[in-house]
Amino acid sequence: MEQTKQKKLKKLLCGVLTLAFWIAVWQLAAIAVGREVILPAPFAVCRRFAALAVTVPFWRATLFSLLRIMGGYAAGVLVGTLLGTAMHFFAPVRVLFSPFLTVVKSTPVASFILIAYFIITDTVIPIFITFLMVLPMMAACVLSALSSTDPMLLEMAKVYHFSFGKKLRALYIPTVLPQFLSQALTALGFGWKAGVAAEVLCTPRDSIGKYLYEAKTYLETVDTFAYTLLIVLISLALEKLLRTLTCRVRGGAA
Amino acid sequence: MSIVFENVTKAYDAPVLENVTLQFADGKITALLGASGRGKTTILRLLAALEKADGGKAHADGKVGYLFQEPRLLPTLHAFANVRLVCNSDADAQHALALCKADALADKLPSEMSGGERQRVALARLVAFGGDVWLLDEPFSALDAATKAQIIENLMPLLRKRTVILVTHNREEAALADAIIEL
Repeated sequence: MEQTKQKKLKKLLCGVLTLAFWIAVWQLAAIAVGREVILPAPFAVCRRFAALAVTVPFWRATLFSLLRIMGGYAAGVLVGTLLGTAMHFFAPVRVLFSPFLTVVKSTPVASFILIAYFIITDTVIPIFITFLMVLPMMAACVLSALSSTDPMLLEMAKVYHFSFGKKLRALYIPTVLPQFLSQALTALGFGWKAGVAAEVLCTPRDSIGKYLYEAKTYLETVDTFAYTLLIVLISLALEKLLRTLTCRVRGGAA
Repeated sequence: MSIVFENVTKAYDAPVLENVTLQFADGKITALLGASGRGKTTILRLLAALEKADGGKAHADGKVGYLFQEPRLLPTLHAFANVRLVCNSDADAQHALALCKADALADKLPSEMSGGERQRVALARLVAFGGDVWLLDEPFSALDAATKAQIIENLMPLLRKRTVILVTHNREEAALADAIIEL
């Protein structure tokens, strides 16, 4: 017990020291540059961040960005899972959608954002772009995980007349779950970044991306850094949340 | 006839069975003996409809239970859950585990068991599943002599109730059968 506490304390201390090191590097770089408009100091960014954090528009932008991007992410996970499953069990679906997934995976996200800009309204674009980034990742993961199901166990399930539901519960889900959870975590980071990028290019109302774009346009570098800090903090918080959920699901499955 | 095996031909990279006809008496135990690569497991796989013959007729009527050479237990489920998956009640699963001397393993995962223990649980799963025809591929190969003797004694009444094909390398085990076919 005491050893675990000591280990945790050591890990925390290590984290704090690492953070302090990089903040010091940033501070030294800011001093060396000597111009806040190019590279603001960490203290100035934190002060601006604190000032923004007590304003209503800041929280409205945070809330709506989160809702949009997480909506796109959830839809991408759901549709990607269903598509990957359908691709595994139905060869025509696999043949039809494999090129689509390849194209989506290899096309730059900026191209999709600009194409979407002509077709759909700016508030929907971040949702659509996040969805589009997450969908092929999850579909490919589910397809690959299902394909890795042990053929010997599938034969056993056939011999013992397992229903599809029983196969799903006893065979497929335990096989797919570890890869699925790990990929969902990776897709969250990608989706969040792509969603914010879409907001920056399309500037929908009440979005972090819009404020980031405006800060860049008016050369408010401190604001640009403050909003970037917000994006990083939200990304870390989401990752932590999903990691906790993942651990719980894994614990429950075991 | 519950088992038909006539003029069967089967090849993978090389021919395994060429125009083979075998007779399996209903309600009797037939042992299949022979060196590795002679097609014993292939015969069971054809009868369990896991493979198709290249030529001839191979099928088993009724509910067919198959004990694979490997235990093939679901790795995320405990022994009891593995057995319970194929039967209708907890009592049936418990009874099957007891018959196969595996009741003490009920709460263990396959990864926590030895090879012999896993084989006992796989046998229990077959017992819980039941069926009219049993295809047994070296069912006692991983068991020590004492455990094997106890389990055979427990299972003999069940074996006598159905048509059984027993693949084995062991002549003592083959002696349990009503008929022996050497390949």
